[in-house]
Amino acid sequence: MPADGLVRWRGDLIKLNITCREATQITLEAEDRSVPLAERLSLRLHHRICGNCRRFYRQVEMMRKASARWRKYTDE
Amino acid sequence: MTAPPDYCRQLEALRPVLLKYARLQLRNPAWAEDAVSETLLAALEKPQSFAGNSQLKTWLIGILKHKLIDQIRRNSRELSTTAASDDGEDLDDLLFASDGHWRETQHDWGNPEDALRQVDFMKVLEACVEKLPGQQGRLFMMREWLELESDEICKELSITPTNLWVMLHRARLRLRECLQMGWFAGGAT
Repeated sequence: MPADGLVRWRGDLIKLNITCREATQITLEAEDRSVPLAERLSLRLHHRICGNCRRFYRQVEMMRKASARWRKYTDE
Repeated sequence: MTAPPDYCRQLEALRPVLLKYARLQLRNPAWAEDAVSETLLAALEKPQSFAGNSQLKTWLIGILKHKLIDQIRRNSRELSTTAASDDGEDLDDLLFASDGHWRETQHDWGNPEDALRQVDFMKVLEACVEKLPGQQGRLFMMREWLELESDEICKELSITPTNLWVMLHRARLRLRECLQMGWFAGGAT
């Protein structure tokens, strides 16, 4: 049996209760590296119960779009 | 082949904007001057390679980006040692309580497409990038403006991936705070 707060899913150990701070960490790291599936699943689970982190995630998406738009703006 | 005077004037007119982005990337006025001079020189030497079907500015920014990467390579030793010295305060501790929860409610930024179409938003974004501490700003620009991959950045600057992610994490949090205060909180959308 996996330890408390962990669940085994297709060979990966997934943390069930990550904190907002950990969710933020995963969200931001995903911009600059490929985040392992287990962490992405933890984040998805966290989003189901946390509006703040859902909004933060959308803010980061928005910043990604803004960067792309800005690159175009700088050389137009 | 001698460049026509008109072409020279057009190049010279674009110097300030090139310098702005060179400074934003390198955070060092002398290196930025060098990169811009090299860019203009390259453009003067080969006016025939400017096809004319794109804008002169677009073409020059393209050259500038290459020259900036050259400058980064040339000064990589100095750049990698300045790593954490100009980091500023740690936003994580301000944002999160000791139990790892957000201290404050996070805001819905609404429909981003509306903001992205506005030149004013681009100016706020640019000002926010400029306000990033030196190394954070440099790394953020390398990643988002020069569009380098994380492993390329690590290689050029001889820094570890963990170090890079920590710095980019801080840069992105800081940028978010700045956009929140400079744009979204003001109801400018």
